[in-house]
Amino acid sequence: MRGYRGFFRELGHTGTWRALALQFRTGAWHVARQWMGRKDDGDPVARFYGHYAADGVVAHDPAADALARQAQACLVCGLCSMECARTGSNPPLDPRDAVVAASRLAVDWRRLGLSPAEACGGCTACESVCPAGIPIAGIQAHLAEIGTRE
Amino acid sequence: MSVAVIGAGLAGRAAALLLRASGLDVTLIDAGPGATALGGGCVDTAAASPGVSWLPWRDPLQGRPLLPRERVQLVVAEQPTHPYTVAFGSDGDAACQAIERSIDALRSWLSPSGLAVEGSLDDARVLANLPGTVRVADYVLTGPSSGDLRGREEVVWVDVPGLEAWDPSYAARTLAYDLEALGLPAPKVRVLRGVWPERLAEPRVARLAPRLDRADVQTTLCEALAGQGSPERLLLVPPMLGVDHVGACLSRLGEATGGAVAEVLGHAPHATSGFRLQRALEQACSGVTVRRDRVSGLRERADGFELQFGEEPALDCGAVVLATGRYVGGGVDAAGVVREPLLGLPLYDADGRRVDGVPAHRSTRKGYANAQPLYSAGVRVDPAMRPLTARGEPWHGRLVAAGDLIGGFDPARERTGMGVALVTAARAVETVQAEMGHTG
Ligand SMILES: Cc1cc2nc3c(=O)[nH]c(=O)nc-3n(C[C@H](O)[C@H](O)[C@H](O)COP(=O)(O)OP(=O)(O)OC[C@H]3O[C@@H](n4cnc5c(N)ncnc54)[C@H](O)[C@@H]3O)c2cc1C
Ligand code: SF4
Ligand code: SF4
Repeated sequence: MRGYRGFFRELGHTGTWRALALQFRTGAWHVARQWMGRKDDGDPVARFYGHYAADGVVAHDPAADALARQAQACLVCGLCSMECARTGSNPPLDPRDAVVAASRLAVDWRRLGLSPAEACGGCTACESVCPAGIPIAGIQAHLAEIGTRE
Repeated sequence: MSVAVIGAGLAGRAAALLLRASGLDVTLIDAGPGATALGGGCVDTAAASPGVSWLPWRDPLQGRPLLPRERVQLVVAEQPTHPYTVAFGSDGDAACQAIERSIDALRSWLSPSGLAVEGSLDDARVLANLPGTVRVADYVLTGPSSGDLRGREEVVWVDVPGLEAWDPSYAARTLAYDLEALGLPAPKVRVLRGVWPERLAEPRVARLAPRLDRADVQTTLCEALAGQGSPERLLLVPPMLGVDHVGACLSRLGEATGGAVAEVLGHAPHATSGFRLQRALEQACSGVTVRRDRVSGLRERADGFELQFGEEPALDCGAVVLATGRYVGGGVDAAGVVREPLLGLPLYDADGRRVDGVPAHRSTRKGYANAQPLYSAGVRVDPAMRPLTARGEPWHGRLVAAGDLIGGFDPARERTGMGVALVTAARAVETVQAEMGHTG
């Protein structure tokens, strides 16, 4: 039986039931559907979302992967948070949290506690103080965009 | 021809300010903050963290902490690769004079921003770190500078409920234990709970500190802590009493509590001290030509250098001060193979061994207390601060280095980081002046 590759990670992160459900759907249900010759039509990406978006799973997208790789340079120093607070902004997601979240390749936006369409002001004050030169405002916008896909 | 200073941390900004004062035309290349903005509230020139810094921190016979001046003498006697030794040989007195001159200059740069540098080479202050460990400090910035533990009867940690990654009872226990274990006079240590205002409960230092710049928020805090102090009692607060107005916040708190109040020492992300220093330095450089960009390459030309900035237009200059820092600043790259990215200069550790060209993990040793070659890796310089090639010759007569980029010492644990930045910047500037036919 093929398995869902993230099984153990998922088990650790979100508990047994969700992981077991995913395991069943990817490892057994899909295999069975394929075996029975059921053909899905339409755009494969759309189909992917149809199946898994409710679980918070997102497809790899090259632009997001590039952002994630840049985010991995984060020192977790918090200078961005300080500069953001200094300018008086209060974004729904703290810039440091946004960068740390984006550095995980597959982001489950529901774990961020970010409601859709809530980007920050995009003033880029945070970027001017980041020692790692991370495009923080772009990451904020990207995370908010993932949130609105739902 | 102008002089280009690459890197806008403490070393780069000190060099730019000194060059400008001597009448040379300077361009400072600023690619954002580096280690300077993450540092603690001390400008360590010869300070010590007992148990971490490897040179002795106290007199073996008398048991008292060594004075910073005595530690400078120890450094030049025992550490041949340390930048102090490279610059001054075994002449510790000359090193001390250079440190004192540099600190005087730093004081004049920071005072317009309300940031004072307190201390001297003849006094060893004992200060508390955020987790409760102890540092023997020489020069201290406004904020923690009033937190000397010597001669106190009682030390009180003010609890800030919900502050992330900090536990005041743990810090208090550690402090009491450490002071006793180190044989330092031990005051009574306790924790003050339940007084921190509800509306200032916030998990992040980075979000709390900017709020404490506001007068109304300061008033709230003063009212909450009113009458809690006394002349013999020291109130210790996490390092977050404002970003731009820490002096005002502290003096108001002092009046309201009727005693001594100080921040403890800490570094980013648990403190704002380094960021204050970085901002004050930026203000001091307001008259210097600054180019906000990252240098991508440096080419030698007949009459000087050409600095490249990727797609952007290049910059011609007659001399270069390289102050690109280490791992945080970006002067040394340890992602993959250790290397100096701009010129490919050879890198050496404190024992004089080459460390570039090998993966970073091969330059570490087991055990926290052991000297780590990776931490002391940087370029080697001649006494005029010119980086040396692998053959031991200066790379170029008018290319000098300053700050963390220079190797042979461990800025994080030896507690001489900012002192080296200042002293090497001053020496590098002297070289540039001599080469360009200028005298200050
Ligand atoms: C967490 C931490 C805590 C510390 N605490 C203390 C302390 O309490 N006391 C103390 O004395 N020292 C402390 N240090 C050490 C101290 O911060 C450093 O020794 C000192 O700040 C070094 O200054 P610098 O200017 O050489 O380097 P940096 O401040 O790192 O500056 C280097 C600059 O060069 C720039 N740069 C790099 N490459 C390029 C390029 N290609 N083009 C343009 N610009 C470039 C970077 O953007 C950066 O601004 C601490 C260090 C760290 C990391
Ligand atoms: S761009 Fe967004 S996260 Fe960055 S400082 Fe502005 S509001 Fe804050
Ligand atoms: S300033 Fe940059 S390196 Fe520091 S926490 Fe923010 S994103 Fe990370």
